[in-house]
Amino acid sequence: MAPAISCEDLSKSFGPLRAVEGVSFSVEPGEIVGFLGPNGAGKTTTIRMLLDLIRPSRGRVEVLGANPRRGGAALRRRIGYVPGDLALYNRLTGRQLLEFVSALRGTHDLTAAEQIAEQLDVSLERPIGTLSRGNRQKIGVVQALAHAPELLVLDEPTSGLDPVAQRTFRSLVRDAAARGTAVLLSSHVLGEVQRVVDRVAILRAGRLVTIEPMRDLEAKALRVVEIRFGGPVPADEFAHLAGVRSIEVEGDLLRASVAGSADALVKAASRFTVDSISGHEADLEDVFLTFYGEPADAPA
Amino acid sequence: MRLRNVFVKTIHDRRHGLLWWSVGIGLLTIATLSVWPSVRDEYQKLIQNYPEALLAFFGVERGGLGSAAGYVQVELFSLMVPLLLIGYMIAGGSAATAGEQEAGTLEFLLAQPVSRRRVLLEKYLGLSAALAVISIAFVVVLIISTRLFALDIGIPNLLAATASAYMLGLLFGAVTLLAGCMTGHRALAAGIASAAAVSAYLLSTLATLVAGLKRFRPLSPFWWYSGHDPLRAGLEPLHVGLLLVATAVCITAAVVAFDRRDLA
Repeated sequence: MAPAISCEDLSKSFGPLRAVEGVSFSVEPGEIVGFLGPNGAGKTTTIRMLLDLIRPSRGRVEVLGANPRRGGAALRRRIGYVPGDLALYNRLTGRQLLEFVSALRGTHDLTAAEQIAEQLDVSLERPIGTLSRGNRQKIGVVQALAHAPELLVLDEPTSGLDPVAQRTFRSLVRDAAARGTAVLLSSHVLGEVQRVVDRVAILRAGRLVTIEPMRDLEAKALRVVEIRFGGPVPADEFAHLAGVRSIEVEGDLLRASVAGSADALVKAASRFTVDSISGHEADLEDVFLTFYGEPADAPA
Repeated sequence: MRLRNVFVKTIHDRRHGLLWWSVGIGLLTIATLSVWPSVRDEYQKLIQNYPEALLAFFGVERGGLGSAAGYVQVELFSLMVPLLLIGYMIAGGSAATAGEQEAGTLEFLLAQPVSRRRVLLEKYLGLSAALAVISIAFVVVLIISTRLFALDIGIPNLLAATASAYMLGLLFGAVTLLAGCMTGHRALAAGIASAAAVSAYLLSTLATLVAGLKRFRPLSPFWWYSGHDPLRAGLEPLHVGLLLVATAVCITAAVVAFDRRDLA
C-alpha cells in the first residue's frame, strides 16, 4: 500500500524566506505521526502544501498516491483537515456548517458528525461565532473526522481544548488510526502528542531534525531530577555519572538532567541520606538542547 | 435554506443585505418619480438652461430632454442606478475571495473537496443572482411608478435600460473579483475596482465635452452601458456584446489568477 503522505526534498520559500527546506518523510496508513517543532518551524507551511493551499518551490509531495494539485477536489474528499488558525463561518450554526461541508463532499448524512459532536460535548445548534474558542475548535475536529477520511491532517488541533475534550480527541484519533486512517498531528508541545503518536517528526527552522519512533525518543528523553539530602553533599561525588547531562549541587539539594536510565545517579545518591526525590519530564525546548545542541529558536 | 453548495451559501450570506438594497433602491425610485407631476412643466425650462457640460455628466444631449424619458435618464440612469448596482457588486466581489482570505475562512473552504475554479464561479453566479434580485425589484418599482405618476415610457425601454445597468454591474463585479484574486486584499480590490469605475465614468462623460477625447469614448464601459441610449432606443447588440465579453475576460483571468496563487 502506498504511503498516505510522502515528501521528498520538499521546500518552500516566500521571497528570501526559506520557510521549509528539504523536508523528507512519509506517513503510512494506520500510523499516527506527531509533527513537532516550535512556532515558526515550518509545520503549518508543510501541512498547507499537503492540502494544495500553497505550492512547493522545490521537491516532491504525494498525498494518498497523488500530487495534491493534480488530485484536486477528488483527493481532498479523502482528507480531513483542521487548519492551524481555524476560522469557521461564524454566522452559521455548527449544523449548517456540517451540512455545507458534507454537501461539498457529496454526502448528506450527518449521523457520524452528530455522534462525534456528542462525544466532544459541543452544541451544533448555536451560531459558531457565539461559541467559546474551545468549542469552535471542537466543531473543527468534528468536520475533519465526520466523513471517515483516509488521511487526517491536524494542525495544532487541541489548542483551546479542555483536558476532558483532549482525552476524547485522543481516543477519536486512535480509533481512526485503528481503522486504517493515517494521521499527521502537529503541535509545539511534546506532552500534547506523546501519548497518542507512533512516531515523531521534529522540525526546526524549516528543516526536519529527526523522525523516529516515540519509544526511542522517550528513551532518550531528558528528565530533570531533584534530590534533597539529609545534609550537604560533596559535588564531586556526582561528577561524570552515566546518563547525567548536567548537574548542580547546592548544599543539600541536587538538581540533575538525566537522559535515559537514572540508575547511576540513584546508586550514587544511595550512599547518602535521601529525604526526597522528585522528577519531571523535560519539555520540547530541553529535548532540543540535549540532542541538537542549541536552543530551538536559534537561527539554523 | 439548506447550504447545498457555494452558490446557495453565497445567496444565503447575502440575504439580509439583499432585502435592504432592494428596499432602498425602490424607495429612491418612488421618491424620484413621485415629484414628476409637479415638476413636469418647470423641468423642460430648467433643463434647457443647463450648461452643455452638466448635461454631458448626466449622459444626455439637449433635445427631447423635457420628456419623461429624459427625466428618468437624468435622475436615475445617468448615475444613481449604475452607481448603486456597481457599488453592490464591488462590495460583494471584494468580500468573495479577498474578504474570506482576510477572515481566514478561505483556507477552510479551499481545503474542502471543491475546486478553486468552482468556488470562484459559484460565488460570482451567486453574486450575479443577488444583483438580479435587486435589479428586478428596481425595475418592477420603476414600471409601477411610471404608470402611477404618468411618465410615458414604454415597458420594453425600462427593461432595456435596467438590463444594461445590470450588465454594467456584472462587469464591475468581475473586475473586483479579478482584483481580489490577484491581490488577496479586500480593501485594495474594492479600491482598484472603484477607481476603474470612476475612470470609466469620467472618460465617457468628458469625451462628450472634449473633442480630443471623443475617439476614446468607445473604450469606456459606461459608454457601452449608455452610449446607445437604451432607455429610448432599446438594447443594441454591439454594446451588450462589449459588456458581456469584457465580463467573461475578467472572470477567466480571475479564475487563472485564483488557481495559481499561493493562499498565504
